[in-house]
Amino acid sequence: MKISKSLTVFLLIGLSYWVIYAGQSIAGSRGQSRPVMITILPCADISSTYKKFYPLAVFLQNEIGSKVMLQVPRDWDELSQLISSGETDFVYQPPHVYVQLEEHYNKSEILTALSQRGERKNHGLLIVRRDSNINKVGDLRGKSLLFGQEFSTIKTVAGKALLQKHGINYEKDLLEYRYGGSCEEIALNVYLKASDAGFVCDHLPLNLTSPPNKTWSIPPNSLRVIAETEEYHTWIFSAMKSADAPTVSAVIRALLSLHETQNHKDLLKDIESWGFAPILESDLPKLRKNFL
Amino acid sequence: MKLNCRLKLIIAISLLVFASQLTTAYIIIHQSEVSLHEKAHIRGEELGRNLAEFSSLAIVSRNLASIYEQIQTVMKDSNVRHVVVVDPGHKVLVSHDLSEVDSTYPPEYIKKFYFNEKLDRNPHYIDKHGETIAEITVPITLADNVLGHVVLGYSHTEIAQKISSLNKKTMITLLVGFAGALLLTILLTSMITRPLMQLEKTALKISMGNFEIDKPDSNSNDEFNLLSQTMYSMARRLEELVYNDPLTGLYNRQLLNIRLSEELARSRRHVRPLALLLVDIDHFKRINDTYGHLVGDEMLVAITSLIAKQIREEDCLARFGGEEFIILAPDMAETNARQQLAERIRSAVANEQFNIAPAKQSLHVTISVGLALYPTDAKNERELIAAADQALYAAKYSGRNQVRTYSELKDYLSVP
Repeated sequence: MKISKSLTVFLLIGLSYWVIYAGQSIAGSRGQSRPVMITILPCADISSTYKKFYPLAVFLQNEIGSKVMLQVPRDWDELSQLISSGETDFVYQPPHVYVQLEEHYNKSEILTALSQRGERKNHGLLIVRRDSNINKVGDLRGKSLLFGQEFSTIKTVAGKALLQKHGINYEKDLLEYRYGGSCEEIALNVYLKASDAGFVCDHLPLNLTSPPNKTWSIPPNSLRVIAETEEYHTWIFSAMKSADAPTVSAVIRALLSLHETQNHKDLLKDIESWGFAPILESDLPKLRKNFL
Repeated sequence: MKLNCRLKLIIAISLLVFASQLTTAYIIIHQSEVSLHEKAHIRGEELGRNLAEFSSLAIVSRNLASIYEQIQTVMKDSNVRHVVVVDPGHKVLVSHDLSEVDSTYPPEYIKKFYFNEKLDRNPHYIDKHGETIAEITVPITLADNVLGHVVLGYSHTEIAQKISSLNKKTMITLLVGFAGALLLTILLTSMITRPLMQLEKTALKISMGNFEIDKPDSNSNDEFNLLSQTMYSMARRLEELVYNDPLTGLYNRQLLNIRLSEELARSRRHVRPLALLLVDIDHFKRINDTYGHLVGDEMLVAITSLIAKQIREEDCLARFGGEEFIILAPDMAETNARQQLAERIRSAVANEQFNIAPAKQSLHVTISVGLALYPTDAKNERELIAAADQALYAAKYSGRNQVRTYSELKDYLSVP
């Protein structure tokens, strides 16, 4: 009888340890699960893009309690590979990219990044040097031009549309065209006469009389805007269909909470946005119409 | 100003040390300056080369903005004052100061370049802020084509600050070292010149007639000690020549005068009598005339030797002149002086047969003694000798071979 009691106590202790150990193992396996992967399409070169978005990744990691990793694809092929292989949970992209990849996304969890003025739309600016003899889009014939990154909607897609609207075939009518980097880099190359004209985002002040940020070094009034592109939706943050639902909810909630503190504002300034907002149902058909 | 040997040595060694320290300091500072310049220019050239390499691709791909980004990185080096990328026609393509773009390099403010071949081969100029800038130019090439140049202005301010700091530290070290060397020099010079100074003092004492000098240490064999020993022997010999009668070896009149003054002073101080005995050999001229001066001299030596045996240790026997001698007997009253000293001497001489070889027979002589006492018979040295002389005269007059005191003579002559 005595032995049987001791055995019972021993078994109970053993069972308790097993329950605790098993619980920890499960928790541990969750903790060690695949990190949340966010794919950011480059708006400038890859390293600058990564640096710009890194504080956002740290913020999200702190908010959702899981490791967050950033991926910046070099081109369409790499982006397609990431999406088709399910190696990403979220994609932050310009609107025309979103439209083309829409079928892979969870349509109920889409955010739009508001422009620095807090708007849902923005446009591109065509800039030249102040002393340039280019005064209108038509004068670009025989000149060199800088678009934005290939992924950029307003600096590249909208820029090309603007040229087309003015009867310029960028493949034939220009002396040369190149895909540039950030707005600052494009503006600086135009100032340095590395290119006759270039497309930049509208977050740069139209008259460029004062430096838009601390890294801006171009002398005031040395550039001028000769044209504006059409307005398009700002960048879109979308969750993959395959993404873990609680993680998606946590990330979306965290992004929507941004712009509450000074730290948030600094973080948003880095990614040139005022904050995030749910995309309007009415915007999606417009997007499809523009880019499909 | 007359410098002594020690001072001359100190000045000479100190100047030598100071000059050698100064030369060493100059070499160190100069070499450091050259090294610092080399290091700075190597760094500047390295920055320029890296930028030139990067710029060649950026110029070809017409991405001058990326050059500007690189220039910003280069400008983070605290010594870089300007970075300009120019085309082969010296037109500024990109500059750290974007307002310089499209202008021609060098700008107006760089008025004049100069070269300092000792430091480096790059041209230098003084900028608007008065800073010395080395201009480092590196060509931007691609497949042997020169696309332009990177011109980098490297400031010498940091080098100047380091040199200034080095100068200060060197000066402090120099002064401390010099102070140490000076102390060591003084110490060493003192050690070297001390025996010399001692010799000088000894020579000075001898020249003043003071022969009381310490016997040098006989254990040391260095040149100075040998010199000291020689000087000591010289002093002893000189003392003999100066104070001793060469014939008899007794004190001469010069030393007698000194001893008489000393004994009178002592007598005065301790209120003790001093007896002075004036001894004269009777008919000494006859000996000289009969046996010759050689016998006379030997007689003098023999008589003085006999007298010397009769006096006390503290008494002083001196040759006064010719065949006259003086005995100073301190602390002796008249009766004692007469009975125990004067009479004993007279009697000893009178009873002695002197065997002088050249005379070939025994000779017999007598002496007369005049005795005077201080302070009863005289007030000073001159009076005391005069009193003894008068007493001696009386002894001679009374028939010789006898002792006469001035006191009895005084009574006889009624001298007050």
